[in-house]
Amino acid sequence: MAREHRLRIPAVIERVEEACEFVSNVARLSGMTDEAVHRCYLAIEEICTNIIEHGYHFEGDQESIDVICEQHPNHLAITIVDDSSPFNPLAQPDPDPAAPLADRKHGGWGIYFVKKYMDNINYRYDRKRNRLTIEKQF
Amino acid sequence: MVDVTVTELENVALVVVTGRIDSMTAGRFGVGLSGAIEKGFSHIVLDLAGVDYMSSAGLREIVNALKKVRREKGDLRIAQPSSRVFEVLEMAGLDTVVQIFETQAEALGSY
Repeated sequence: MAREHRLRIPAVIERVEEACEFVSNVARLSGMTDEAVHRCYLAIEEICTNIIEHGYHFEGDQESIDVICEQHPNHLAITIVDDSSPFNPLAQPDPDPAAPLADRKHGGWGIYFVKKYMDNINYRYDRKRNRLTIEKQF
Repeated sequence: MVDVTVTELENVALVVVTGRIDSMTAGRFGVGLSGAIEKGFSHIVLDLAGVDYMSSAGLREIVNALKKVRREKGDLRIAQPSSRVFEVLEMAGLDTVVQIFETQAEALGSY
């Protein structure tokens, strides 16, 4: 049975750090290396920032983001839940790291880093909420 | 928290950043970079030795600044990124677009 930790933050940039620290603490307590903890921290920042910027257009002060950590024997599963319009970040094309400067568009790097840093990632829209789950092995 | 210090050298603006560049502080970081460019400097050295964390928000500001200076036939070069910051630059392929130096002196001397 996985041990669960939950946090709810207002969907504002100023509170993203709190979500990152929350996940980092659970990751650290789970015995993850410093590097793995750092990667979890960055992943949460990227995901929460995307929700605030693209999901709520920086007007999410009355909205919230739930962060749920589940400690499993060999991995940590983190689900980030929000109530913005249905959006699957995994369905978007990856940006191209080989693109020349002139062709580079902003956007996409956050989720790209999450995919690189996490061992598993999946998305579902359920009960009118976006649910993105990322997993990091110990 | 992020701190951005700009030192105007003869033909180069040395932008020294300390702290963390994340979604909350990237704006201030970008303002620091833009400030140097708006003063007319098209040769920038961005010293990141004191930056222990950078997310994609920081990348965005670097790319914005890079595009601006290259339009003016200038450049932005990076000095002393930590291994974690370098990894972010590398994942985004910026290590093939931007010159990155191990020391500030090498970066300044490259102009």
